[in-house]
Amino acid sequence: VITGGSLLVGLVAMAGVLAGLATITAVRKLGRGITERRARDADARMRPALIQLVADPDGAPSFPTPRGRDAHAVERLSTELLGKVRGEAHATLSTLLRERGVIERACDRLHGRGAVGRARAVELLGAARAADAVPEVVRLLAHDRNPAVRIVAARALGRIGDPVAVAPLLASLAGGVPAGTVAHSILQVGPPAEPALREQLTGGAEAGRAVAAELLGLLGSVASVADLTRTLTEDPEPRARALAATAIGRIGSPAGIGGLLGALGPDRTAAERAAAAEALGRMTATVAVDRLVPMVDEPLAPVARAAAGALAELGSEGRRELESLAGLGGVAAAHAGEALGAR
Amino acid sequence: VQQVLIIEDDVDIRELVVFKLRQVGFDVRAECDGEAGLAAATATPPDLVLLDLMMPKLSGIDVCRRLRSTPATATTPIIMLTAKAQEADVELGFSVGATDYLVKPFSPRELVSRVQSILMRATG
Repeated sequence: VITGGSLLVGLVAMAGVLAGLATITAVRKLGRGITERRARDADARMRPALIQLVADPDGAPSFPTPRGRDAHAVERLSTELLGKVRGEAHATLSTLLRERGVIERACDRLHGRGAVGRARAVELLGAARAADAVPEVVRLLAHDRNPAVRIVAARALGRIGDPVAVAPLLASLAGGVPAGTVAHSILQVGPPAEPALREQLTGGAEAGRAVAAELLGLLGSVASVADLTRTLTEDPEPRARALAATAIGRIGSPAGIGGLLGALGPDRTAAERAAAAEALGRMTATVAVDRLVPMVDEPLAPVARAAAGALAELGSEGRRELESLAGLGGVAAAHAGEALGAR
Repeated sequence: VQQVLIIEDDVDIRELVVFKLRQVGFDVRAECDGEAGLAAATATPPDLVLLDLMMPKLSGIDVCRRLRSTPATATTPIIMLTAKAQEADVELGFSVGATDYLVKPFSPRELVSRVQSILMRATG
């Protein structure tokens, strides 16, 4: 039985709990505000000396050895500045961080318990382009239990730019690192990534082979046309074959035309045939005109549209064929008209 | 002494540019958003404007457009500061009257050379 007295006691107890919670929240908020303000003050104290060092490495007075919050501020500001400058300014900052043991401590923090700490440490190593940390960052990319940390590690490897990281980056696709992140990081490595990408074309996993093919095209790797043609004709996965076709088109070497013509055949998937047609158009391979004309009349819209688009790129000969198709009526006429209109 | 106005919301970049350009002898003013930058540029036209593309209140593109439509700043050289990811916007920058652009991350030395060469061209 609930009496009036026990109800009152209950209400008072509940009000007490709520007041306690509100006090704890307010104290925490106040504490966080004070911490943030102190961090901002430390940033303001340390920024001028750091800016002077970055702007004028030879003329700046020797950098002070900060302690406590100021030391944290230098680390924080340096990490941010590393992403904003390049050349001598970047090298100066990296040297400062190395001399102060910040790089070494960041390597140690890669083994820390907190995911945020590990992510910050690997971000710093990437920003400082700490090449000696690559093995540790690769380990994190492959084995860290937190997916967000693996993504930060992938980005860091791109910034460091060591081609040794290409194979582990492609392997990380299987661990859930987004293809866009992997691709961006490998593109940052640039042409030195090409040999490792070519190796992946034959020895890598399916997703890795497809991304490798695409990246070789984006890098414009003329030396990879033969390997890409092999992927186009022999790879068991249609996606890798289609991306190889696109890559050959981007590279634009005539050595790839034979393989692309072969990929137009009806034994190939629609995606491959469309990619091969687009690539031939991009390369203005007029030799493909006779093969592309009947494709415009195919029932598979992506193939027909790609063939019409390619013909539009193939000079007067291709456009003449499109004009005659446009006069015939039917679906082919629609595709031909669209391609001519888009020119 | 030639006067340069930097309009940039990133405090690190702003202070770095101010320090570096003052060091080589320019008179440098700095503003941290598009609105304040536009007001400063029209009140006392500088010899050159360094303009960030992405800023609060008024974007670099809008500031550039308005500076070009103001007689006092219609021919003032404007260098756009743009992040690598915004390179596609460079064309837009030129279409509204930017003189040149510099991609971030940038080298402070390169920045100084760029400013000096553009001012040299502008003053004949």
